[in-house]
Formats: sequence, structure tokens, C-alpha cells
Amino acid sequence: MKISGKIQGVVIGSLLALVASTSGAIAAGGAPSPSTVSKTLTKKPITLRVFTTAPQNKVSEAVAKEFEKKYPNIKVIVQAADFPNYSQGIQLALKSKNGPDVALAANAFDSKNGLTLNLAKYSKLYGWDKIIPSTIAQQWKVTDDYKTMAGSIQVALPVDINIVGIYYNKSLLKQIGITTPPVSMDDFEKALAAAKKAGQVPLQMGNSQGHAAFLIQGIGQATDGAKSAAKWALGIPGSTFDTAGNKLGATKLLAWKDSGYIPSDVNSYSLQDAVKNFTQGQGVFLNDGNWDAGTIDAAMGDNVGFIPFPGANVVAIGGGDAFQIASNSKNKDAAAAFLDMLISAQAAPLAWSNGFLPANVGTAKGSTSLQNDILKAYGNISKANGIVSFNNNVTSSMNQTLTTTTQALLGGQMSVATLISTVQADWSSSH
Amino acid sequence: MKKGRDSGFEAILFVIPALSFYLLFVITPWISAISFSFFNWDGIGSAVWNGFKNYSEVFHDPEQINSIKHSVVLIGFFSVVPVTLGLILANLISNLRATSLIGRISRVIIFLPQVLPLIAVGIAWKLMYASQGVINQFLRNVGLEESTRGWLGDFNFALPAIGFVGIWLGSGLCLLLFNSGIQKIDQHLFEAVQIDGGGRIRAFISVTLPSLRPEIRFASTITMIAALSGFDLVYVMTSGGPGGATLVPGLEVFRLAFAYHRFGQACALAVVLSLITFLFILLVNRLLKDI
Repeated sequence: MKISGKIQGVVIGSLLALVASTSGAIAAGGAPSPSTVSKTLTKKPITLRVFTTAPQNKVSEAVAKEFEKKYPNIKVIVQAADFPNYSQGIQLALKSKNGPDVALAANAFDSKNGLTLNLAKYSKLYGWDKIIPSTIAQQWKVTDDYKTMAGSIQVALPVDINIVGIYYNKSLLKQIGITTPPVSMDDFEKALAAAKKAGQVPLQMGNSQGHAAFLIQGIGQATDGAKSAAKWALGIPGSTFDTAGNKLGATKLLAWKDSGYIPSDVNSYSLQDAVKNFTQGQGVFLNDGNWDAGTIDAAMGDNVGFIPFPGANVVAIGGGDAFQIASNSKNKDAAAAFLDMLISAQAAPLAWSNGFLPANVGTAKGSTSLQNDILKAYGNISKANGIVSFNNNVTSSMNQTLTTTTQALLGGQMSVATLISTVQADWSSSH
Repeated sequence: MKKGRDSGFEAILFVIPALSFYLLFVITPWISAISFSFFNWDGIGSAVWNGFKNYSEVFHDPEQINSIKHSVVLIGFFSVVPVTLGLILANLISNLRATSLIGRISRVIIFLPQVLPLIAVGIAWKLMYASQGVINQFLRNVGLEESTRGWLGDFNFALPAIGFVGIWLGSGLCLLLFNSGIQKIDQHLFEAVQIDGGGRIRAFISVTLPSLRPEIRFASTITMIAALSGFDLVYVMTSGGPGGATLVPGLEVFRLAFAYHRFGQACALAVVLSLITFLFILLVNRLLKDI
């Protein structure tokens, strides 16, 4: 048929044109630097849009109110999603003409597409490097090839700090006959053995989402030291996961499961399940970050303590929420002023009261015994320069690789040696 | 005066609204996916031509090849068992009058799994399979303490555990389909079998089975598509864990695209998956042609 033949031709032609137009994406050029930066903001009425994740949005909203008071002509709108959905959609939002001015960073390397600014000029203008601890700040500075952290292109500003350590149940610890929380690896293993003997769950853990990897990294860096562990976690070329510490970490993880120190069905429940079990008295210890401190504090009060991971070196896995400025933003100076307020002394109590350890940590004061423990632990770790970035963030697939390999190790499907080589293979594919 | 059926132009006018939606929302994304599958693309930046490398990786990456293997195993649970079970049950209850109260109530109960959103189904079963869930409680109560485990965290049981949910989901649908098919069979055929001295089994093989051919073909096709393209159940129940033991292609496509930022690779796996699905449907329709 003549007509339908023609229509067919038109349809196929327009489809091909559409495919061609959608696959011709924007060219990569890296994070652009703003041409001019200034602390003086416009007097015109403008709106700043802030995209973030829950529950960080509580802090951003509280700070937004203060910001609007200081600059009455600026209206701040805060929008939030949960992290998995946020991290999958934020790149497209930043690409849009109506996207956010300020956005929580999902990954330091995403900035290679030029959707967010290089903040180095603003950092110099406001003196951010004097406020943010360098071990945290360097996680958001990348090298020219956008493959390694600890470079000179500042893609985001960290506003709060996460550290992973050991929570312990004070009354259970006393009950098993231990008077002081463990400091060395030996102390820790003795306490675990005593807990097992007393019929307690020694170390509460959930690995359906791969959180057993915290234990490997914890033992690994407490053995190897923060300096060498951080090199690998930041993606610095020439580093390897095949170290004495990491091997010990994976070996201990498996041995502790076999000795009954870790629940036998650890692969079938999540970190959140483990937190719930721990607060209900199922577990003398829990290896977790301060992001759960609010929940644990509310459930256990004075009966819970927090210490850095036991071992020869005082170290912690640490990171935090960081914010970017969109290249498409029409109000970059205002966006930078908002970032500056997020790390101000004025914002610190707003972060702390919502359970976030402010990046401007010098201004934080604890109001519960757990908060005081976390501040004390952070102080000690910070003094020892012991913060190491999350191994999970070193490549975009590392979180999944660590989940899969730790589950396989604990399920008796993989050896320690294969775990180490699989993790290193993932790392090598990007660095 | 009657107009010829094939005066095409007017017919096309009527078809255009539906056709344009179909082209825009089904055919266009499909063609885009095929074209992306030849590129190395992170979803935002520039795409680089990659030839057939993405396709060769589908068959060389253990993660992707295992996901395809798992979905083939799931066909057994989502398709073969429900169709067989549905046939047997439909035959057993074929005497139950569809309009009776018991008939109506049982139909509602049997069909219920089809009405529930898969996400809700997944969450409910996840709770039942949990260490402290009802399944383990039941085992403990009957003295089978030894057999209790975190089902979805166990390398040997996680995939069958998800498969079992597939049986629960699919059997009701198959039963209803076959039951309504049986009602349509001419009763005289069954009487003829009786007169010839045949029992229920003979009647099933000679009358029921051949008459139900269209229903069986339909049920096999849709349950097979559910098995191969499944995402929601696995995403909610295990996220592919433990250690990739329940990873299915649907989930792997999602992971490649949105977690690893490898859109080209994700599209290649999606294209391979759709080809495999076509192949299985073709095969099933061939096989069922001559029962």
C-alpha cells in the first residue's frame, strides 16, 4: 500500500532522528570554575532550591530559616528524597534548567560531567579549609582525571561528619565480667569470648546490605594504620587491598562467625535489624556509625557507650554529607553563602540536635552520655589523624562488590584470598 | 454500497492515536535501548561507540550470565509448576459449580495473590522467611529446630524461597484460567469417554488436555514472561543477595544503569533478555502445538 508505505518511511525516519538526538549527549568537560566570586549578594528577590536526602533535610530546613532571616530577599526551598532514589535521580535534576542551585553530592566522581562547580574559589573566599578537617575535605576533592580523591578540584563542601565505631551495652559488658571497654584487638576478642561463654550475642551484625564490610575495614585499618588504608580508600594509584590488615579483617570476620561471635543468620538481616536487636539487648557490641546514634540513644539512654574501633591504631571509617553548587544555578554567590551558613557555628547546634555531628566540630557540645562518647571518640581519632574514607565509595560498584563478597565469605562460598582479589579487581578497573 | 475493507487511509486515521502512543512509549524506548547498547555511556556525559563489546561482556561477566541462569531456574517455579498444579487442581474441582457459594469464595481466595501489588507480596514473604518469622516459628513448634535458618540469607535456599512465592502467585491464576476453560468443554465428550469405558485419567488426557491448549499456551506465556522479567519481588526480598545467589536480569539491568552508571551495558543485557524471552515463548508455543 502506497500511503502506509510512506507513513512507515516517515515513522522510521523520525525514530532514527530521535535516537540520534538522544544519544548525542553533552560533552564532558569537568567541573567549571565560576568566573567571579563574591560575598556580596544580590538585593533582588530570588529563590534558592536545595535538593537533599532525608533526614539531612531537617538540618537544611532549619538552616534555611536562619538564612532567610539574614537575607530577607532570598527564599529557600528544600526538597528531599531517600538516598537510593536521590542518588539515581540527582544527575538528571542537575542537568535540567529548573534543577537545584544547591544539591547534596551522591558521589565525588559524578562531577566529571560538568554539572556542578569547582568550589575552590569559594573555599578560598570563605576560608572553608580552616574549618573542615582535611581528612573529611579531601574526600570531596578530586584529581584532574576524576578518578582519584584527595586532588585539587573541590566538587563539594562537607557539612557533617560520620564516624563508624563500636557501640557497647554497658550493663551486659559488666554482666560478662568486663570492667573497661576494649582498647586493643586482644581486649576485644577476650570480651567477645566472654560474651559467648555467658550466652550473650557477642557482636550484633546485619549483612543483607553488606555492612560486614565495616568490620574488615575496621580491623584492616586499625592494623595497617590510617595513612596506608586511606590511600586505597581514596583511590590513589598503586595502592592495594591485599594487605596484612585487610587479610586479618576478612579472616577474623569468618572466624568470629564460626565461633558464634556473630549471629549465624547474619546474611539474612540488615544493619537496621541489627540496630533494633542491639537496642533490645541482643548483643554486647555493635559495629555502626554515629548516624544511628539518635535511635540508639532514644532506646538505651545511659546504658550505651561508643568507642573507636579497638586496635593498634586509633582510626575510624569516616565521611559525611557534602553539598555541591549546580553549574546551571543563576545565583551561585547566594548558593555559596548558603553553604557557608551550613558549616557556621550558628548551624552547628541545629545539626547536632538532629543527630548530625557538624563538620564545624569545634563548636559541638554533647547533651547525652552517648553524644559525649561520640565527641570524645571523634576528638581522639581526629588527633591521631585517623579518619579513613568509606571503602564502599572508592568506585561506583564497590558497595555492591563488598556486599556480594562478604555475603559469599560468610555463607562459606568464598575464601579470604578470593575476597581480597575480587575487591582489588573492582578497584583496579577504575584506578 | 459496501466499502472495501482494505481502503487503507481511513483505517490508518483511526489507528493513529493508539499507534502514536505505542510508537512513542513502547517502540521508541526499545529502539533507543538497542542503539544505546552499542555505546559506552554513563547516562549524562558523552557516549563512546563500543561496537559489540557490551554484548560480549553479557556472556563473559559471571554476574550477568548468572542472572540469566537464575531466571531460567525461576521459569520452573513461576511457570512449569503453576501450570501443572493448575491443571491438576482444575481437573479435581471441575465438578464444583462455579456459581455456588463455595465456588465463589474459593475463586476470590485463589485469585487474591494476583490482585496484590508485588511489592506488598515481597515484603510479606520476607517477614515470613525471616529468622524470627512464622515459617521458622512453625518449624520450631513441630520440633524441627535444626531446619530453621534465615531463608533469604542462605545460599542454597534463597532462590527456591523466591521461587516458592512464584508458585503461590501463579497457581491461582492458572487454576482459574483452566477452570473456566473446562466449563466450556462440551459435556458430551466426557460422556463419550465414559461410554467407551474410560476413567477420569483417560478423560483428562483425551478430552481436557487438548481442549485446554489455548489456555495452557496463554498461561505458560505470561508466567514465563513474569519469571524472566521479574524485578520487584527480588528487589524487595533479597536485592539479589546473598552474594548474588538470587540476582535476576531485571535487577542487574537496573544495577548496571543506576548504580554502576553503565547505561550501554544495561541496555545490552536488556536486549539479550528480550531476545531470550522471545525465544522461550516461541519454543513453548511450538511445543504446545501438538499435545
